[in-house]
Amino acid sequence: MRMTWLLAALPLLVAPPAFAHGSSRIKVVEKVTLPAAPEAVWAVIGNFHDMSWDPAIAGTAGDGGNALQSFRTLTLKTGGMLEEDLERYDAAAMSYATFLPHNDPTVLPVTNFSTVLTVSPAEGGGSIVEWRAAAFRGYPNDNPPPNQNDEAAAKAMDAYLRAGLDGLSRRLGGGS
Amino acid sequence: MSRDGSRAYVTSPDGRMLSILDTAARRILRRVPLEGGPLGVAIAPDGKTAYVADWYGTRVTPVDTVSGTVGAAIEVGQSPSGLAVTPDGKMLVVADRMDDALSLVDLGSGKEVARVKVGAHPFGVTLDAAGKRAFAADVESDDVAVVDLEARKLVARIPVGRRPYVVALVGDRGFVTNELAGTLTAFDLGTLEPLGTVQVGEFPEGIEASRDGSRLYIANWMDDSVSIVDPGSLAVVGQMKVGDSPRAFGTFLRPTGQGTP
Repeated sequence: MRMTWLLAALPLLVAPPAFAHGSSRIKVVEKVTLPAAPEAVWAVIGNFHDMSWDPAIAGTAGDGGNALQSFRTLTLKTGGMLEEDLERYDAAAMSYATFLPHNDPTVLPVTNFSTVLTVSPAEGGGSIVEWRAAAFRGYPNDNPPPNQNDEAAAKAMDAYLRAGLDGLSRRLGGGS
Repeated sequence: MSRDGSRAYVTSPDGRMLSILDTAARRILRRVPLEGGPLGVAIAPDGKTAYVADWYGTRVTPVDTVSGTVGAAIEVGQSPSGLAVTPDGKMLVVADRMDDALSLVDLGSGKEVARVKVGAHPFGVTLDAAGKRAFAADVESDDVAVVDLEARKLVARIPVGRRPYVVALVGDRGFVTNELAGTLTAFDLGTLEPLGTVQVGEFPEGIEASRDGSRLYIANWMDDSVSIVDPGSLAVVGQMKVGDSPRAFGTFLRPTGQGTP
């Protein structure tokens, strides 16, 4: 009897039910104000295949161009890679959106990571760069471990956005 | 939202509860603790029962909307998401996200009577006014599945935009929000072919038509706005700024008798 119970329970231990993602999506928004005109800033950051403005990124590889569903592979300086596709590109609005279909949670503790990068004119001249990110936590099931819960995901996403915008600010001489 | 708009039902997947709100008095009437990850919610046409799906499990829980009593769980497929009850109150349609299927549940017996395969990872489910067809947004295969509820068969899969979320119906047209594309796709309910696409806000999610069918309201989660779209011309006729991260999964407009909605 005891044996039967163990055998019945075994498949659950070996292969826990897999889920696509946690229940609540997390949003993080970061901004930077720059003295340069929006067009000048867009000229630096508006190419999906050039992330050289972000000091956290060691290299960008991809198929080139800003066509929808283009793929880029970002190599992080801390190690690991992010393979993102281009979901929206609007040169007139100076905005593009990315999506990370598959992810290694040791690189970023998230799933379904997406971003929107937008340049807009600042009041009184200069520009504002806004970088928004959305994702679910790294651990998809109920009761996540502390390093893969919602808080860990939000913290990692915020650090990623902030490092990029701070680097851009240093490059383009921003005050914040 | 109850049909008369007097009650709103809000699920908290992390707080593990269903909250019942009096929309006119703007207060919480009751918080019903639930197990698992309560996410999808649908209300019976008579307003007496709320059905709540457990995102982390394989069950839908009926809750008495007056007493808050939790009934016997209905077993369905993996990761039930969107729910809808037919207008006659006899059938519950459940999107089993991880099983790529819709579960059809007979509410008389509380048992699943059929499971119909759709596209990859169905999320939102919407029924037509006659309760004959279900429209499910297949998130990972970028289409809308159309299921005949009497024949219990998949009728069509309509190609739409990237990561569709949920469908709304107005007249002879269906509309689906495409989350990653930031668009709305219209399709013809007769031919089941796409009619056109319009850019709305970022991460459009909840969508509902005004009662007179003259406007569509779309909650854009990412950029904190609501887009207002003319369902005939597909023109964006308005954009409202709202609070942080608006979303709705089900109906969210309250009729007040003071014009649209």
